[in-house]
Amino acid sequence: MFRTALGVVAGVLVGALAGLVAAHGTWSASTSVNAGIVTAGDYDIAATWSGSTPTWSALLPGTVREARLEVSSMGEGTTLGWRLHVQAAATGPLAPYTVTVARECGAGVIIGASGYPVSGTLPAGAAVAVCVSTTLAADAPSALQGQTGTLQITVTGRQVLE
Amino acid sequence: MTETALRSRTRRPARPSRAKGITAIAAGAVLLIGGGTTLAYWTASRSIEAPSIAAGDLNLTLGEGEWTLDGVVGDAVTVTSLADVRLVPGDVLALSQELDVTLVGDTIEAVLTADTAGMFVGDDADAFDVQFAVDGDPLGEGITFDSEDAGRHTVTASIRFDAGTPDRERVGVPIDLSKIRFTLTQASS
Repeated sequence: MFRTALGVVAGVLVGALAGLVAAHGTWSASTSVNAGIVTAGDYDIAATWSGSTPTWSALLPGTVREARLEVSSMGEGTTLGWRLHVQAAATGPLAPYTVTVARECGAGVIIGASGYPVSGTLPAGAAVAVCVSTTLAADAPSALQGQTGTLQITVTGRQVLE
Repeated sequence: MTETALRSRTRRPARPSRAKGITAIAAGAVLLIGGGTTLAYWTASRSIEAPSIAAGDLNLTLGEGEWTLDGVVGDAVTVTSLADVRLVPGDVLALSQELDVTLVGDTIEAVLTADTAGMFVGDDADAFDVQFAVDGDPLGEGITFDSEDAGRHTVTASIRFDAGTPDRERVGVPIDLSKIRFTLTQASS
């Protein structure tokens, strides 16, 4: 019976403590920033040949063929600045003897490894006309006569982060 | 008396003598307590004048706030319309916000915290780093104020769009800036 009485007392104490914990509160105040939703921008580019896709046939040593590529950017970004990069990769037996150069058609600025423009950036929505020219080397061997190859042009718009 | 009642009575266990003793003591105690209520005693009471007391106060209100956008390209600019902003990787969108702290109480201390729950959708938060500071000190897990710190403070929040976000990831994602929430909670030991 004594143990039962102890149990009852302990139970009462635990109940009292639980009541104390539940009643313990703290003041608190919260407030939210008065602002709405901000959205990330978007960015993409498109490139199309001016006219039909060029087919450069009957290239002779030392001759140059050129085509115009229209590059446009889409999307929006409040602080977005970008540069245009153009890479050319030739395949097949002609590859070692071809040189491909990309220029901005207006001022003729060569689009090199640092992209276009060389300094500064293009804004979102800007368009660039790119003139792509390929030259078959003057010393191309006669064994290349009648050979074919492909030229792949990769246009990249890259956000400037420096 | 029916047979059933008789059987029931005969089955009832005999009360132990110890229990009988306790019952008797309890009955005696009740009688004593009952007798006690009839006692009279002298008593006197007086009210004395004392200073009035009042509860303290704890509150948090926002004052003026200003947003700026600092992109990788160009100088930081003041944002007049958040709805028109289109963030790109590398951007830092910053808020400078006046915060008025009310803390009245002889022993009061409170912890200021910031919460961004619900600000981003899904794992978009992975592409953004959000930091808070109060009067130039990083807020971290919270800053403790006491009544002497009551008054106006400047809270800054910076939201940095990871410059390493590749390809076209996170284009067009929304960020709900209204989910930025400051809370002042009374400190407890």
